[in-house]
Amino acid sequence: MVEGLALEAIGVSKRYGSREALCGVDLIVRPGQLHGLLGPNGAGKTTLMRILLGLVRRDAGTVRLLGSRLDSTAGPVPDGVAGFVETPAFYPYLSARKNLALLARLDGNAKSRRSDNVDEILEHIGLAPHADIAVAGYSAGMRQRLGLAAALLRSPWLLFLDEPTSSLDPGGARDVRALARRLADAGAAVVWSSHDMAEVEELCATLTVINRGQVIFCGAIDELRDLAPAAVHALHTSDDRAALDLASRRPGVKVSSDSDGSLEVSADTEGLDAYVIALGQAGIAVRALESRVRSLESLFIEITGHAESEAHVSAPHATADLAPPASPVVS
Amino acid sequence: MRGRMMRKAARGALAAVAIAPVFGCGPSPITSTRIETSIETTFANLVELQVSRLRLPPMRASNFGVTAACRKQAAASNAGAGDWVCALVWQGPDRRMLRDTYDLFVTTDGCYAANLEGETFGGPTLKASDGTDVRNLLYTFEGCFDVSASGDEPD
Amino acid sequence: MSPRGLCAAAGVEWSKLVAQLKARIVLAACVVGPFVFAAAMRVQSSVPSDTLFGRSVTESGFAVPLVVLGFAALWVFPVVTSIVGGDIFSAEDRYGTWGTVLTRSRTRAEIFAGKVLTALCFSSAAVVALALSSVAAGLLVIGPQPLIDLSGILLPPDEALVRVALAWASVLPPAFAFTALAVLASVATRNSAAGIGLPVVAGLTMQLSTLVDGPDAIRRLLPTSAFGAWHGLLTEPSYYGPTLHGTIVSGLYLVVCLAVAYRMLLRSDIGG
Repeated sequence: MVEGLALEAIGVSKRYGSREALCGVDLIVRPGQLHGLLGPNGAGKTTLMRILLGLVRRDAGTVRLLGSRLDSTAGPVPDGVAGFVETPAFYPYLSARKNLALLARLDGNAKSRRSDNVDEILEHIGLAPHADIAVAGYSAGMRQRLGLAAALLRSPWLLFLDEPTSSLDPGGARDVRALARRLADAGAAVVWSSHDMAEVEELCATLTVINRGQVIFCGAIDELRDLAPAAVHALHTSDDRAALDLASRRPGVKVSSDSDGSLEVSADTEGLDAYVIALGQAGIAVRALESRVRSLESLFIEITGHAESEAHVSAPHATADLAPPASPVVS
Repeated sequence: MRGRMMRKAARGALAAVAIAPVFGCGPSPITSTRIETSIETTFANLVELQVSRLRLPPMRASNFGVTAACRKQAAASNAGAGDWVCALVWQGPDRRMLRDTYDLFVTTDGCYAANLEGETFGGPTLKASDGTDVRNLLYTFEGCFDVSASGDEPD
Repeated sequence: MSPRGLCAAAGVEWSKLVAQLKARIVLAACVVGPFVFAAAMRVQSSVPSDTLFGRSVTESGFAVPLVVLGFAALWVFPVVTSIVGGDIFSAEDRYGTWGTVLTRSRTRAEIFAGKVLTALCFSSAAVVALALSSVAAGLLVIGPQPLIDLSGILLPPDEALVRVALAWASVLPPAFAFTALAVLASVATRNSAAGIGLPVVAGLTMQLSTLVDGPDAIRRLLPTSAFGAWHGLLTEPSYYGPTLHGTIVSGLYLVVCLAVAYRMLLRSDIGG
């Protein structure tokens, strides 16, 4: 069990030429926390993860992993810290078993224990039947599992996972989420970076939202909801497209399509009343209007700005297996 | 700051000048003296060996008194790699003074291949006294000399 | 850096290397090549008369490793030393595995040292394989006859063997220099084709420049000058100046190339 903070990153900054990738980012995670890291594409999440794993030099700030100071990129990743950024990569000409054995050797595992550890983890992660096939023949999902296996080899107390379920089928994704929960329940700290709002909402009690290299929110998910000034309603109309078009011309009213076929309307009472009246005047019938707790996704869109989120908003509606709009998250 | 940089540059330049001779910043080390010394020794040793292989009465290399005079062909200076010609004068088994001329191609690392002009010693092969054919060691031979040694005066 | 860390890193690199076909092919070629050459000399009537000891290659088996050495210095060593050194770092870029390797319990210094040690060991193994194979080929195919050295002295077989062994040992420093050059190219370009190709091209250019009677200073500053330093070991009296000089120059190339490569790796952002 870890005492003190599992992750303490203060004032982390990184610049690439004239572009400021990160500016004064703080990230604190305690043992036993499953902490979400959210942000639109290009926000700086991956850069932050790379800095925390010692892959990229930071220009400013301090980082402590399990109490050990991370001195830029020269030192090793402390024992008990593990993770991967983006798609985990392995040597394609070696089998999964051999890849993991080499990584265990790099970690200094005793030869006598190495083989047993590798076999156990391959079994645990569901890759045992494919352990002796060259990784070149692996699917993206299998590589992702292997990445997780490589991280688990280190018996982590602080685990960084970057989009760990992006290539997995629903069953596999469920298993990985369950694994993360078990690790957190056992006292490990897990930093879960994801674009999937529903997944973060389901999994994490606390989160950090990054946009344009800066932290714009850090805290419990309930606190994020409390930031939303306007109530959210589910609206069913006779012509959703016309209703969306009408809303785009009304300041103070935000309307977006939801996965269940309804429209999600965010506006204060006055604005909502005016909008409903305008719908009627435009010949659009209101079939149902009900109050709803805000989903994390819509909160995220609001605090990161609508322009950046448009590309992201379209993605969830393209797939059929998204979680429905949220009920309150139980931390 | 500027003064410190100037001093550093000056020290660097002095060091470069001091070590330059070590790296051959000077005239070519391939000189007629070095070639002559090498070919005299090699030729004498090969004659001794040849005599032995031809099963003739043995003779010592030191008895031949080989002297060589080498000059670079078609060049302004008598130094450097390329085509050379060497005239060898030596005392034969019957004490006769013999003269042979070799064309040399000397490479930049101080090695050469010497080819006999004419057929004073016969062709590429000779017959030993027991009738067997042996390679004529004096028809074409190779040698090398040290181009890194100092203290030799170039021509 | 700890010895244990270095051993772990080097062990991993060596395991990866032996699993790759190219390493086994190169070593196999080093073993088989000299036998093919010796057999060809045995059956054909012409000899490589433009190479030192070429005329002796059918008279003494000890000439075979010296002819192979002369040929290898021009063509083989730059390729053999670069094929691992020029790929061992850039392969991680090609496979995208830097993130996997550098998030383990090893420092970048240990990873760097492990890879360099593996590359140098492979270069040594290739040189030793070529040496042993060419000696064996010469003795088995041609025979252990005495060897005429570069001063016209006939060396008895045991003395010839010692001189041949020393000649081959003398090319290890420049082989290491080329390995270091390949490592630098691999780290700097992050591209295996450049990591392997650049040192080969550089080696050929250096060798070609020594054919031209240019300033001696230039030739002496090139590691390729050390590839021919063994000539002095086969003269009477032997001279060691070029060997010593070549070793110093090769050592300088090794230190400078590795220092620059190390600094580059230390300061590089992975995936950034």
